[in-house]
Amino acid sequence: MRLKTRILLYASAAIAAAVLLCCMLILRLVRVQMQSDAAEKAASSFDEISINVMNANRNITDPSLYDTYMMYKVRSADRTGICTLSVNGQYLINNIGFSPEPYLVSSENDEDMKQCFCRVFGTLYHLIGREVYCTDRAYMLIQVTDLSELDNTMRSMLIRCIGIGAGVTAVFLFLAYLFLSSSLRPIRKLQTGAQAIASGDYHTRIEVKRNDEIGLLAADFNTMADAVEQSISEWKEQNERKQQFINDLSHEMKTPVTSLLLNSETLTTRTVSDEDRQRALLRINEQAKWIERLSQKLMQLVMLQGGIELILSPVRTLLDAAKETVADSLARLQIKLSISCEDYSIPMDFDLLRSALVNLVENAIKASDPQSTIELIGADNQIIVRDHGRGIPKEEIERITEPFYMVDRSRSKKLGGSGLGLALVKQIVDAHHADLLIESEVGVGTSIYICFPDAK
Amino acid sequence: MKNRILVVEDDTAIAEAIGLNLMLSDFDYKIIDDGAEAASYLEKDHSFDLALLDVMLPNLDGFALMKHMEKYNIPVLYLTAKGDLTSRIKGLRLGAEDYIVKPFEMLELLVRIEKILARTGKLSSILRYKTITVDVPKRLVSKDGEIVSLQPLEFDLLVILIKFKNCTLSRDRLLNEVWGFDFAGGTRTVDIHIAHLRKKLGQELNIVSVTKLGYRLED
Repeated sequence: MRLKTRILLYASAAIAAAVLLCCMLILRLVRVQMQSDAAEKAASSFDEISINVMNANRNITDPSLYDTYMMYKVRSADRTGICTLSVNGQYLINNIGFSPEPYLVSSENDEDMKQCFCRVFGTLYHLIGREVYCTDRAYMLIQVTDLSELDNTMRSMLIRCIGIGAGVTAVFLFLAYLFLSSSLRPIRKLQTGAQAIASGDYHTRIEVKRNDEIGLLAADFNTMADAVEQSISEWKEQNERKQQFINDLSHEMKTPVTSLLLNSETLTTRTVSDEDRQRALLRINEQAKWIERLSQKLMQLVMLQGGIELILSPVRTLLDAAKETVADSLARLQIKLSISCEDYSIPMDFDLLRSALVNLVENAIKASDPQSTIELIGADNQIIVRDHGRGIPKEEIERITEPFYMVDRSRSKKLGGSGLGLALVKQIVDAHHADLLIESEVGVGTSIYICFPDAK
Repeated sequence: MKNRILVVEDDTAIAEAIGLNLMLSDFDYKIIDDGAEAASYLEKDHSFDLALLDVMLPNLDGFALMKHMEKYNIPVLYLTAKGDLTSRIKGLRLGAEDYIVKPFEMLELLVRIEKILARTGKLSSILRYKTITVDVPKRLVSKDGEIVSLQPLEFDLLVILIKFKNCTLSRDRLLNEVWGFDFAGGTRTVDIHIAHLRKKLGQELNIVSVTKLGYRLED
């Protein structure tokens, strides 16, 4: 059952019960009041009658006339004919259609007056009676007042009460329905909002301008939706980056694998000259080496995900070590590498940072012409690699740290580039909480800055 | 008259391997490693029967090269690492004859090249091997000018061997090509027919048995 229906049902049952209870109580009080009023009125009229009957009965001496006399007295005193007169259970006068004496006898005594209410054949009567004497003969005089009028009044009042109660309940139900509808509408909105989020629409927000609990709940709900949306979008972005990486990687792998397949297939299934065989083997060797380089870089990238340990080391040692590693290719191309470095230390993972620098210097070598100079500068919490080579077109600078991005694909392939070098450098720099800045102008040269956070 | 094939592929290792195989299968070929260069080369020399195009090329991609190929009526076969459906559909919509996704096998490429040449009517219909001449449409085989009579299946087998000479063909492949996929007999059938061919055409026909792999017709 829906909440609104349940609330309305319980509330209207409670209201109806309360109204009914109130009516009953009030009716009860009214009835008691009316009955005592009626009793009082009946008693005063009975007083008058009984005093009239009791007086002036002295001059009757013949006992056989007692009954007649008493009947006469009663009839003259009681104009309306509501009294009964009985002697020893024998009624001399009875115009009311039933015998009142047994009802009265069973009632409580009040001095010499007895009175009570009784219901005979569904009609309410008030009985009041006393013994009256004609000399020594005792008669029972009882006044019977028909109170069916009172009963009728009470009944009509009860009907009216029920009508009023029903009306009040109906009005209450209507008002409660309106109120509940307006206060439950935000819950309905919350529900649709939650369903929307559950089905993947994370932009959903709920507009509730209220300060009560429901308003607070809506505000909390929106906060939750914000958090969910943010983490979902972060997760999605991360996933997309990973997916992109995997796509790029598988694409990148296809070329060397195709080459390996074609060349090995040729060697196994075809008759080729010695010279061609030698060339095919060389191609296989080159491609295998290239795959090896790629997988090494991939391994490094994977290792970086695990986090690294930073140890304070002098920058000069680092730069010297980097130069040492690339000494061969420098000598082959007759490119000079000048180092200028202040004496300072920064927290670093020596091997990783060296491999980052080696990557950068190798890039610089690839970009440089023979006989030119590459500068390696360490100062002010910065390491700068500067070359005077080809430079990078402005619109490419942003993208060159993306995995597998190459400005001139066929040229860098020929130079053995994997497209992962700068991506790796960026990862290593990030792991050192440092920034990678690239300044470049085509034909003039490139400067790459690794800016470390202040050691303080 | 040999068929001429243009190969536009920027990866040297792949291009050279393809070139070597084309040469061994009696094709003339020209390798170009740059899209724009290929477009300008076509202006002075466009007598190609087929172009093998990589999609990702420097300067001008393979899809853009398509209209240059259309201008000279050169059928196109794409060789590419881009295996997604959109790229394949795009390539075929543009009018390519076929589309091969890297990595692929050389033999498959050769079969597809042959099918395209046959479809476009550019395949030479007369095959020659040493002194043996095979007229495919007329189903005539002659050795030193004298007609040799062959059974239909022997003829088909000889055609396949000559088309893929210098190329090892497995018994299963030969069965598929000559007898069809639903042939119920075993691979022994191939051996028997090879023996018949050797007997009918003599020492001229240099069919080499390659252990575990199959047969190869050598020059």
